[in-house]
Amino acid sequence: MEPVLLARQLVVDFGAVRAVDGFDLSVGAGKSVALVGRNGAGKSTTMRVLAGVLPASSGQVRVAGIDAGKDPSGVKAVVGYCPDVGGLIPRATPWEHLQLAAKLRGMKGWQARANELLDRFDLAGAADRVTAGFSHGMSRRMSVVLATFHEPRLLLLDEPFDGVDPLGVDATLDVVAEARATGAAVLVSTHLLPLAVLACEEAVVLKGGRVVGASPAAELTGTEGDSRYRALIT
Amino acid sequence: MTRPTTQVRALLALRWQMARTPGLRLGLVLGAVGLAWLLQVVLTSADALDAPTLATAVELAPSTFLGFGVLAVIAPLTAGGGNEVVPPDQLAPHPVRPSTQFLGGLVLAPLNLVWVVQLLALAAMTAYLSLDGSLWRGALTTTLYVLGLTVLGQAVAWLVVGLRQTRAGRRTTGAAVAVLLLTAVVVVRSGRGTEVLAASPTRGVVRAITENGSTTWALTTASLLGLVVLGLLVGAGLCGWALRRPGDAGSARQLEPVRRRSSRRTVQRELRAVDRASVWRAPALRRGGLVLAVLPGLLAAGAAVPWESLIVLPGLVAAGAGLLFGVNAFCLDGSGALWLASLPHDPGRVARAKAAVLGETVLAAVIIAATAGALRSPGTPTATEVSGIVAAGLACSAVVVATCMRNSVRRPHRADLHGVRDAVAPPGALAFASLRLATPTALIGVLIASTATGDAWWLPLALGTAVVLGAGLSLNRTLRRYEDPVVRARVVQVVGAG
Repeated sequence: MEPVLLARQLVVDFGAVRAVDGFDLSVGAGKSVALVGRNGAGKSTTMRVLAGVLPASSGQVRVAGIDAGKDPSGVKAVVGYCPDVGGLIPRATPWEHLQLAAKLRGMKGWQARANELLDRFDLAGAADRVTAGFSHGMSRRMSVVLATFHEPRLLLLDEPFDGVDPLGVDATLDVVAEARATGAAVLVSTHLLPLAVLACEEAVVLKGGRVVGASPAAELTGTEGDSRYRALIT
Repeated sequence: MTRPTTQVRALLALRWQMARTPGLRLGLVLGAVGLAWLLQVVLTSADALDAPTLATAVELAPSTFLGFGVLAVIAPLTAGGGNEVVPPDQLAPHPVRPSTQFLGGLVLAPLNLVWVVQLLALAAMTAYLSLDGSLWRGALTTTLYVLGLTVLGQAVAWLVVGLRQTRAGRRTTGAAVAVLLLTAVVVVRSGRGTEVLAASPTRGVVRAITENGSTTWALTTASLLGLVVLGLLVGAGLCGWALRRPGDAGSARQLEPVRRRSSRRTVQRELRAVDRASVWRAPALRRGGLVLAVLPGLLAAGAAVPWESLIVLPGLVAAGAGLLFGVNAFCLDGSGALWLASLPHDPGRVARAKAAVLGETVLAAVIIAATAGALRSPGTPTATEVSGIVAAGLACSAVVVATCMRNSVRRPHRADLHGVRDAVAPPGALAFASLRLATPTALIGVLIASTATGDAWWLPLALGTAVVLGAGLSLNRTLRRYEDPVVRARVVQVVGAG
């Protein structure tokens, strides 16, 4: 059976700079993988390519059996993406974001799901406020809501815990667990290893746009795990 | 802490380094050289004029000087205190003095096409007025007038920024603007416009330039020098006061819930609704839009512009409206551009929605300005004049939309537009964009006006239709270009992630 996410020999060049250099990854249904590494390792660029925001210079991405090169819209329909920076239209409200997402994704009867997610992420009271007035943590939580809103087959969360309070972290972890339970694949990019361990069973270490290590996420914690991780990224 | 002049130099050097495209740097240098050349040409143009033309020009001098004064106050007011060399959020960790921000705004004042055109007009007037005296003494007075009014304008703008930090201050400034507008209407309606203009303090400046070398000249020039020095001191103080004042305006509005609207029937309408809200919920765009739509019309109405001259008004207004957000239309999505690009949709729809919202904003500004101007145009227009105004409005709006969208795809910038002082692009880029918009629209306005003099009412409409078709083709090329994933990704990355 084909994995939900299959990336082969992904390369992304920005002019003379190679941001992603032959990235390979496969994530099966119900699995979650943490993408870790130093700043500038190529994590966010990889996530953007997988989300269909950025075209790869070469390589192949398949999501739920759909080739991103041949049917980018088909891939976007089954992917939910939380970008690393903001990810929100500054002068639109959360409700308007959900309204737009529902329209573009052709979702019917979405209001109940929207209200449930806003409640769960403690954003119901701010549903009709423009997101420009949101704190960093609120913006992160809203980005996770938007990523998971349509119950995607592949959930891509780029720094979802950054600046988020413990209740928001719990809500995000619940969303990851639910996605896995429904057979979705989850990829979480984060610098917070303890949370990566809670969210994911496996971890992939990126350096210079390449995968330099992969192991069960739990093995990257503790004194020994931390030393191994530091050795991989330096 | 270093001195404000040192800090301004450092910020300008940083801004220069941030201009990555060699074309922009070359353009700025050529622009400065071109302006110096134009000033030299204008200052030596008086000998080429015959006596009656010269007399008419001299008669218009006080109004020309007054026009510059009005612009010098309005331009920084619309920018919330003047242009910024580097956005304040990027300077937050640095100990930048308020006076540095004040001086930076002054240095960037010439990056405004209208300011430059008015400067050239003042230079020409100075040449005409100084025919019987020393050109250089006259030029000294004019230079100090330009400096003094620019400094004064920025000081007033900072005073208003400071006052508007509180509810009482906003009410006071709103009432002051209402009183000013009402007074202007009453003066014009009562037929005292010419009388008031005759009492303008700029008459004293004009007399001093004419009689340069006299005691009047010396006193006026010394007073203008005093105005510059006083303006610098007071302006820097007001800037500091305004920036220190705890505000209850901007952030409070962002915390208020907005009315929930119903879902639109189609994707295109949904995208347009989001873009429309993004424009009118941005304080800088809301304020700029109101000024652009209302002010040119009021000025045209005040001056009772003849119908044939009203034909060039849409071009000026359309170019200004394009600068509001159109030259960097994708910045409306901010960092949400990254999320939006991950949704399954035809990417051309996002660009088409932006073009549509831009088009309706430009057309609305043109219609309001032309209607306000038409209210006091003398006599009844001919069918050709009416068709000329309609054709110019449509043609200039179409050209502005096409030019803006091309610029938005080719030269995107990150712009959050959170505050009243935020601009859609850096000052240099905006100056170039204004040139790119104002040149074709002014030419189209003049061209259509030249065809609207006879009985052939269809001629301006035919010309306008040809321009609209050309602009449509250009817009279509831009939209196709945006559908290229590499081009689109660059736009999304720049506006979304900086």
